[in-house]
This record gives sequence, structure tokens and C-alpha cells, in this order.
Amino acid sequence: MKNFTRFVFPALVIMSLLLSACGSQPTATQPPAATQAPAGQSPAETQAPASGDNACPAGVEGAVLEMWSPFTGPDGDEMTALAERFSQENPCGVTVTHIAQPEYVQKLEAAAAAGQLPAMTAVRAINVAQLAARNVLKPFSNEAMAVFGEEIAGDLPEDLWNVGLYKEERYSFPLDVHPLVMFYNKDLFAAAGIEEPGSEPWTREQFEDALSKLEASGVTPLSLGTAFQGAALWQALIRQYGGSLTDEAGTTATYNSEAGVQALERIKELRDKYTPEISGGGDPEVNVFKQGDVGMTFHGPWWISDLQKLDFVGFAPLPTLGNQPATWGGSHQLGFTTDDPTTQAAGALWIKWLSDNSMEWAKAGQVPARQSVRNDPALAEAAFPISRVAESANIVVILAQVPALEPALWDHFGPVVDAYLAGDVADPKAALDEAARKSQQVMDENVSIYE
Amino acid sequence: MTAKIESLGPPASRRPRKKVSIIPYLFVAPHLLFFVAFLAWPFFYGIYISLFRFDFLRPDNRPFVGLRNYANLFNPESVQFDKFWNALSNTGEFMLWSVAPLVGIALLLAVLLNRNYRGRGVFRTIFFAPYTLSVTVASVLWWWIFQQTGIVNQTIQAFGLKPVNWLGDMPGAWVAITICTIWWTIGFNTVIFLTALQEIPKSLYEAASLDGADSWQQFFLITVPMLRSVLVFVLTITLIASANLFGQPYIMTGGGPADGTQTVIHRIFFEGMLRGQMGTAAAMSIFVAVLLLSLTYLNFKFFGQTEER
Repeated sequence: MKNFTRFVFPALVIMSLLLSACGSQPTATQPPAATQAPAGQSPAETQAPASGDNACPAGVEGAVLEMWSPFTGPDGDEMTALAERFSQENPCGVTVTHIAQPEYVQKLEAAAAAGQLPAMTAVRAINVAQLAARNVLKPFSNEAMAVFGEEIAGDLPEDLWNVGLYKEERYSFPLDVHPLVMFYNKDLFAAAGIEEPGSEPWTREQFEDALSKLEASGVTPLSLGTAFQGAALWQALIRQYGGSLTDEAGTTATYNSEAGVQALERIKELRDKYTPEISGGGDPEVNVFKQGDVGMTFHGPWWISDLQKLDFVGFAPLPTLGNQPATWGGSHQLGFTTDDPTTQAAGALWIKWLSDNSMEWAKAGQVPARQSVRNDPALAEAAFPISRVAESANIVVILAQVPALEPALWDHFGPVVDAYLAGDVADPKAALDEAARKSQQVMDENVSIYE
Repeated sequence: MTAKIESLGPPASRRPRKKVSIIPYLFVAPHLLFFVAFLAWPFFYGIYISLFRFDFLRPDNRPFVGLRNYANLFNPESVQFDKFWNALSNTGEFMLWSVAPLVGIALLLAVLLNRNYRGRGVFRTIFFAPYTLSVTVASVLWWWIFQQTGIVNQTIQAFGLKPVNWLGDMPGAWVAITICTIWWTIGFNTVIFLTALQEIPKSLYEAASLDGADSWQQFFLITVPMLRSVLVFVLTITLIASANLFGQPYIMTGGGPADGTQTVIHRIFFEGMLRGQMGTAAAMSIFVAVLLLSLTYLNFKFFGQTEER
């Protein structure tokens, strides 16, 4: 990797300077490049007029930016391919350096301390505030915002767009969503006479109906585990019962509400009634489901690329288990680690291009943030499972953008959810009260540190 | 070790000579340089950091808090209290699990490897070999072995028993971590014991056997007393090494289940690196260092008594 940054990267810079397409060459070469885009790229095409006039902000031609990404699976290969395509089609280029999780954030912070930061990075939405407060992410310059134009915000779910704001400045741009979704067994559904769900979340009645039909047909209806799955489902259900993890500002823990208790009791009821015994590490509830004897399970879309190899697996948004649709989810965002306005403008060009082409990103197993891409009928052909769960983007619950908020909450409610589901907690209200009190201590300390 | 080498300098200069020789200092210099750069300076800088709310990425926001970072460790209402003391007691638990076998089994192995038989060298190599691995290799290896579908559970199932969730349940997680640690580090203690055993004069055993002592009596009346100082040394470094446990649980269990195997070093890492609170992390480190120093002092005081005087 060192060789890469020392030799290949400068070589790329020099080469792209020599071969610079923008400015030095007649602009007539631009339209053919645009038409080379594969068919089915309607979002890119429909917005071509908007991006066409400012395709090359002053001073960015020939620039090659380095972006860090935490995508080290197949999605990483897709990201690299997209960066190469962007670099060919545009006056400036991007190289993507994949940095292995875990501790991606710590690696960014260490690079910041050592003055080795790249120009930009992909980052999970829940980390944006902390990275902004600790001077790793830099606010978007006016030059960068100008590249996006005014309309783009309207094409993104409001929560996802707003989560990029910290202290009223923009620090990140939403690329995708990863919601908790439903995986179901088509064969078992057919045998039980259940109509397969569509792209809208099932209502509670439809879900209950499926449970009883599966039970009547003699199969285990549901696979529910603990750990991540339990805690993520519980966060979804709090919202489904009308509660929330925190107040709107993200400064008061509110998960010990009536909704929090209801959500816990609901998951336990479903587990006790409909779920087989599940143990072991590495998402055991999905492994049980993969064996083909269980009707449905809920998990993150990162399981899609694996599960779509099995013919019997169907994909749908998380059903309504409580009173209203909602799901847990996270979002990959793109942000700058440099405050140089020209570099940012070039980076913004890439961000916008990537967002416009997020149909391709859906193929890597991510739900695009852009409404127009999710609504595009071509999505079903490009990435069928993603098209089935894409509507989740509108019901995803996103935490407020407060530094280190997620660990302050999850570190304390996580063990309570696990213990209650294991039957080790008799009084869920008291346990949640105690957890919320501890969360509040950490949140108060975080406020005093970062305000 | 360090103190001994350094103390060679001053006596030479204390002799009544007009010119102070620079030679001894030159001999000490290479070590001293690294000692200062990587131990002394970080240690004192750590004390300095522990007096601030210290974030290395926010140099403009580092208020002096005095001893508050230390006070937080003893204040049940503080954010740090529960998890820090939980981690400290986990570390203590691991020391209970690991120190006795690491010293006892190592001594046993050393005695066996000190006998005269063919292939002795091969066995010595085999028992020492794991020590040359990195913590990551050793931990990932045992992480695999203790998986739900790993070789341990497969063997258990072959005997018709229920598989155990080693890494996700108590006390399975400690059993797995302890076995990994013993396998990985026992070679070091064994080699030290072995060297010490070879220093014991054969004539003592000959005399004892002439007097009719059996091998158990020889072991407890000759070997153990002759090894006393080495035992104290091995016990001390094993205690310190066990207190510094980090890599094995970090890789094998991630500190779980429910923070049950999160050690104090892991907690310090979490506080300093993941939460970015270098001040409290430094205070924790200093506190743990003081604890270990006291433990070492007690160790020498009680077990090393006759040797010292």
C-alpha cells in the first residue's frame, strides 16, 4: 500500500495532468463520454442538464483525489470500478483506498494526528458528528455545495440529508442506507398459502396472519436471535410503538419509555412463541434461516449478496410488528477530510456523479439514498433484492447527529435487551431505567466534552 | 534488569579520580536512549496527560482538570467507574486462572525436559515454538479451534456430548483464553526454569540419593529451594504479563460476553482510542501501574525474603 501511495499515486497524478481532458482539449470530447454510459442510467441522464453546466469547476481539471473507504467486501470492488469509470469520464479522478474495518474511525483519527489524511472518506452516518467535532471531517465549502445544486436535497429522504449536518454545517453527503429488512422462505410461504410481500412493509395483520399460517403448516415461523439482531429489532420496534431512543436533539435518553418496554415484550413474545433455540456466534439466526426450515428472519442488507444465492429466499422491508412502520438502519455518507475548496469542488463532482449513478452501487448490495434511483423501474433489473427493500429508506430511523451518541446508548441498552430475551431480567422497565440512567451519564459527559 | 545496568555507571565515577571516564556512559547510552524515548518519557508524559481532559485531535480544547480523572475512578457516579472496575476484576479473574498453570506446568515441563533421553532437544523446541508466534496468530488459531463448529466441539459431539458455546458463554470464554495463553507463552517460563535447573549442581542430587531421598523428596527439598529466586522472578513476570492481557480476548471474544472478558488494558484502549479520552485513559494506566508495582513489591517481600537478605 505504501508503494501505491508513493509511486502509483503520483504517477497517476502526472499521467492525468498529461492526459487532462478538460480545458486543454476541445469540449467536444465531453458529450461522447456521457453517451458511453451504459443504458438504464436514466437518473444520470435526466439530471445531465443540471450537472452539465458546472461539470468542471475552476482549477479541478487533472486533480486526482484519494478517498478512503471501509468497503472491503464485494462492495469495495464495485466502489473501485466506479471510481475508475468516473476518472475516465471526467476531468478529475479518484483513487479509492480500502481500509479494513474494524476501527476504521480510529484509523482515520490516527491519520489525522499524523497529518496523513486522504482528501475524502466514506463514513458511517453515526460517526459524522464525532469526526467533525474532532477536526477530522471538514465542513463542505460553498464551492462544493455549488456543485450539488439546489435540487439534490429534494431527491433525498429528509432524515438522511439532515444527518449530514452538525452544528448547522454540512459535513457529509448520504450515499446509501442499510436498513433492517426481512428475508423470507418462498417455498415455505407457498406451502403455507401465504401471499408473498411486496415492496411495501407488511401490516401487523399480514404479519400475524403469516405467523399463524406458517405455524399451521407445521414449520418454525421465525428466527430471532439476540446480540445485534435483537438490539436492532428493538430499536425499530420502539419507533413502531411510537417511542424513540432519544429526544430530538439527541441529548436525553428516552428509550426507557412505555414504547421501549412494549418493544422488548413484543420481541420476547415472538421469540418464545415462534422461534427455535438459537445459539452461537456470527449471526446464528441467519444461519438457521439459511438451512431452509424457518419461515422468515430480519437482518441487515449485507446478508443479501450471500442469501440471493439461495433460490428460496425472498426479500421485503421489515413488517410492522408494532403499531406503525419503521425500521432500524444506518447510512454510508461521503465527507471531506480536507478544507481546500478546490479539492472539495473536485470531490463534490465525484460525490454527485456517484450519487447519480448509485444504481450501480445498488448492485453492490446497498440501498441508494436517492429517491429517483429507488423509484427507477430499472432498479429491479440491476439489483432485484435491493428493489424489493428500497422503500425502507423512507422508514429508517436515524439517530440525531451528536458525537459518540450511538455507543452511549447501545453500550447500555444492548446488554439489557440480551439479558431480557435470555430470560435473566424479570422487570424490563427497571432494567431499562437503569440503562437509560447510565446512557444519560455518558451523554452528559459527551456534551460537556464536545460543546 | 535496567536498574542493574545503569548502576554500573556511578560506582566507576565515584572512585577518587580527577577525570570522569565517559566510557561506562557510552556503554549504557544505547539502552538508555531507548529506555528514555520509549519508557521514561512516555511514562512521565502519561502522568502529565492524566491531569487534563486530553484529546489529541483537539489541541485547542484541553482543560486542566487536576486529579479529577483519578477521582472518577473511585466515584461510583462517574461514567468510567462501572466498566473500569469490571475490567479490573476481569483481569484479576484471569490472573487467578492463568498464573498457577503458567508457573506450575512450566516447572513440570522443565523438569521433564531436563531429564536424559533421546529427542530431548526436539521436545524442547516443540514446547518453545508457540512462543515465537505473534499474539494474533495464536489467538486466531484458538479462536478457530473454539468455534461453535470447531474441532473442540466436534470432538465433544463425537463422544455424544452437547457442544459448548466456548467463546460466547462463561466460563467457556475464560477457559478458551486461558488455554490459548498457556499454550502460547508457557515456552518462555519453561526455558527460564530449564536454565535454572541446569545450574543446580548434580552432586546435591547424588548426595541426596545416597542418603535415601526419593525423587519427590529431591524435588521439594533440593530443586524447589534452589529455584527460589528464579521462581520469584518467573512469578513476577507472569503476574505482570497476565495483568497486561489484551490481544487474546480482543481477538477471540471481543471482550464479551457482556464485557465479561474485557480486561483493564482493553478498557484503557477503549477509553483512550475509541472514546478519545486520553486523560482518563492515562489516569487508568497510572493507577494500574501503581497496582502492579505494589503487587511486585509484595511478591518480592514474601517470596524472595531469604534471597534478599
